Amino acid sequence: MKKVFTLIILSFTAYCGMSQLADFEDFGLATGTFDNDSSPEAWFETEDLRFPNDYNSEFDFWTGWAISTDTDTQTPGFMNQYSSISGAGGAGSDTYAVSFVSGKSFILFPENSTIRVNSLQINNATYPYLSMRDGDSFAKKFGGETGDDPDFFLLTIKGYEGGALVDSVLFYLADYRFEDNSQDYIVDEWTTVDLPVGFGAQDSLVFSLSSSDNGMFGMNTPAYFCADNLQISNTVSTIDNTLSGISLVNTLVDEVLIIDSDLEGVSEYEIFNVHGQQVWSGRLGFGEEQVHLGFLPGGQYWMNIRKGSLQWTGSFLRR
Amino acid sequence: MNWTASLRGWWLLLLFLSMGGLCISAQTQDTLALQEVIVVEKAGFSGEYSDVVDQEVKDQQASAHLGDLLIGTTGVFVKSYGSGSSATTSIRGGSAEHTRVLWNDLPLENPMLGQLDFSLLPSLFVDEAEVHYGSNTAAWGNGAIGGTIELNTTTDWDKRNWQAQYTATAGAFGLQQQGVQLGYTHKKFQIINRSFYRKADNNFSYLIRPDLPYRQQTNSKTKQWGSLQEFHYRINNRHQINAYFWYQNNDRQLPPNATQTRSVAYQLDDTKRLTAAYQYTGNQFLLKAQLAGYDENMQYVDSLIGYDDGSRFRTLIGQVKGIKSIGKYHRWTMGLQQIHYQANTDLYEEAAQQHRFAIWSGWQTTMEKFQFDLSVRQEWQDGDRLPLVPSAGTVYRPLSWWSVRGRVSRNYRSPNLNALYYHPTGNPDLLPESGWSAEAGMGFDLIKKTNWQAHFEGTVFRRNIKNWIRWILPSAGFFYTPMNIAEVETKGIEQRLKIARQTDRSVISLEMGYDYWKAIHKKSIATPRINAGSQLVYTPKHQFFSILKMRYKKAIFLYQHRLTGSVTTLNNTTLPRYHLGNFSLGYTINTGQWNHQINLRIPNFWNTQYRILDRQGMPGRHWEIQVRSILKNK
Repeated sequence: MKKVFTLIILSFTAYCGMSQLADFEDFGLATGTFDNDSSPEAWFETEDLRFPNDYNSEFDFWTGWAISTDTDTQTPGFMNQYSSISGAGGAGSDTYAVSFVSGKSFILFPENSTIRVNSLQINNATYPYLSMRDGDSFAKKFGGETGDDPDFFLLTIKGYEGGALVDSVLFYLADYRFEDNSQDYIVDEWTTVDLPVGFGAQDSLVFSLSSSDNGMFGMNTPAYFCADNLQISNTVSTIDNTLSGISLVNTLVDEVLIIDSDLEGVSEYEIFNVHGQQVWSGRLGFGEEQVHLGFLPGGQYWMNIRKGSLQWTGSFLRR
Repeated sequence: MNWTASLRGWWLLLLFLSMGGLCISAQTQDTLALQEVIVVEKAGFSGEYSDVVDQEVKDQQASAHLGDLLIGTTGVFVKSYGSGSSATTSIRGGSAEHTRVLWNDLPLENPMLGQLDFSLLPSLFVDEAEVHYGSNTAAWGNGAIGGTIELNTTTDWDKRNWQAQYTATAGAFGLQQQGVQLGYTHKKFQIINRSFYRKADNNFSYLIRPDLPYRQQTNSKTKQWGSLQEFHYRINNRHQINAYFWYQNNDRQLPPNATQTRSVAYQLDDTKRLTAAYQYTGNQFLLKAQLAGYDENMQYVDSLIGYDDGSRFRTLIGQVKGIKSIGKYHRWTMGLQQIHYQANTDLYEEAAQQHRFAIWSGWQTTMEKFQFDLSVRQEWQDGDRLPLVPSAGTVYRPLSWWSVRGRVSRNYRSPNLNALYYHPTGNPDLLPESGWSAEAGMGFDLIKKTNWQAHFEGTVFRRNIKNWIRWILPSAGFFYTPMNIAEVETKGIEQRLKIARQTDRSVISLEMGYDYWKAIHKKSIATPRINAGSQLVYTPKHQFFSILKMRYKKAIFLYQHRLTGSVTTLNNTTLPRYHLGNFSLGYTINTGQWNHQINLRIPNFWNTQYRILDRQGMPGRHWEIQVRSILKNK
């Protein structure tokens, strides 16, 4: 009984911790502005969470995340990329994050992180909202010509740990699949999305968008959504099987990933993509090692290094 | 390329040739007329088939644009966004950029897009329109892969003194059009002006579903006006100078599509074209030198999304063509062409220029039962040599009523300026699309009597184009960029049947055509998603058209019917096939010096609800009344 009670206490302790809120207010943006360039860093960082951003100054083009206080809820089209349809952040705050999802968007956790996101607030951006409501030159008005088309705009959130998919959550940013058209909706206010306990201690969250309006060129609905007020807590694992003495020298990879290892002898590594698929493997020795990864498509990857029963996991972004 | 130097060079050449003509004229005025072999400049190319736009159909649609005329009378598939909206062409499964468009032998395509919007070509400015099906870059020029549409504004020296023609059209959806053609011929001079003004609300209604109310088109007004000024000077029977100035202004609102709540977008087009030509017709020789300059502006505005973009392109063309008859059966053609394009737009990082120079030559032998021609073209673009393209064709008539023809050619199309220079993802390393084409056909005079004719033509063809340019999303990229990535194979069958019966007071004719085009991708592409073996989007496999014409004394009845097969779209949907019928009734009244033709036309007579493009409604049955008054020319 005492052992069981201890185990329960330890387990409870494992999943309790100080709660934090990532609300982006610490970026200090003036109202009606945005920041779509995180350089020289590869991400915007707040409350230990990293929101990758890739900005190309030559083309004035960005993907991933931007931080915004934009308030335009009226102007349609791609010239109004940074506004939430509420014209403000969650809970009436000023600042929020906007994601342009090119394939997938990520929220990264630091190496050996013990924090997890319990919930976050999600909303539509003005651009896709008005596109779904009114239609435009590229995307259809949801419901179609008759109003009966079973359209939808879906946000899928997946949690990964050690390169493996833990769980996923589906959130409809718009849903026109009801028999009764009066029930059709497009999300126009900040909505809290709880992430299941099963997500555990994540090392990344992966966001993807899908729509019923697709053509030869992929999804016609503009691929944007907004996030705010991420509720974060710390987790403590009762089992420590982590290798130490390993670090990634560069987490933004063009051609070569550099690993610095203090481990004597040979350790083995595997590299996983966002689908949990192993895409490469090999061996590492002592000191600074290079792994050539120019053949990999751009995106988020995890490296899992094992030596005996111990392992270490880190993530990197292939540009 | 020094634009001014090039312009000066061609003007000097033109002036030299003209002055030379005047000198020769002075020397030969009193020379006895020689018996001469008539050099026919416009002989067709062996082995190819063509459709001519029916003149009476054209006369009854004076307010129409060329796109509308092509729909009803030829096998050209015209992609139209609806009444008053843009219209582009597809011939034998090619894209709009694979249609070569020539006006009086001069190319008209927009170099930025590589295609032409036929809704901007008024039928009033064109006297003859002929569609040449099939590939023949060697003869017709860069981009003649699907086919060539030859437009001509002709000179009629048989007319004397004043010529006048007035057309007024009123119709449904606020259509109002007026056109005037006024000319004067005096001995060696002929001066003609053609002007028109056209406006329409285009606020037609279309059906979404039988149980739902009709939806009315909004933001769809159009306003066009233009003037074509011609000047012709016939120095003598051998020397002639022609000049044209074409000005046109188009103001077009862009309506929302069927899944859009509203649109406030509009487009403005401003076009100026100035051409001059010198022609010498000798005993067995013809020389034609032409110079042309185009200045075209386009503005696209959508205040709803805060978008306002303009572009301007200028084209300078100089070309010389000579045709020499050799003996009784042979003809040799040679030509030089220089084209300079300049385009300014916010879509490019800086102004784009392109220079093309081409030289071509052809040989044609024509005998009683046999005709053969061979052409070859070599073109340079910005100093780079493009593929050398040959073309060979033949026609054989084993019997007077039976002909067999064939043609094989190598063809290419240069990338347009947008593909090369669009910022940030234009690809200046693009290669021309190129490939081979072959066709064979037979023609039969089924009936050939004075008052009864029936003729059948059948053609089979095959074409393969590699390095077809597609805008794709690279696997690790964020931007669509044009690449030579696709390969398209097109096979098809075309059939034409023409029957005509004529009496003293009546003519009945029936023309029917059926086209089968199988145009498929040979390779799969990830984005855009294209599966190998799939038919090109907006390319129908089946098309049928017919024109029934009955003329009795001063009355004329015309019925056109068209069946267009189903097509797949960019949105992964399929548009069903549809039938379209156009009815027209006309009557001519003679009053003194004038002939007045009154026509009632009912397009979409069967009130078909159809779509040419996805999410674009089309008008149902509607009406047009046209009055055309022509001064009798004595």
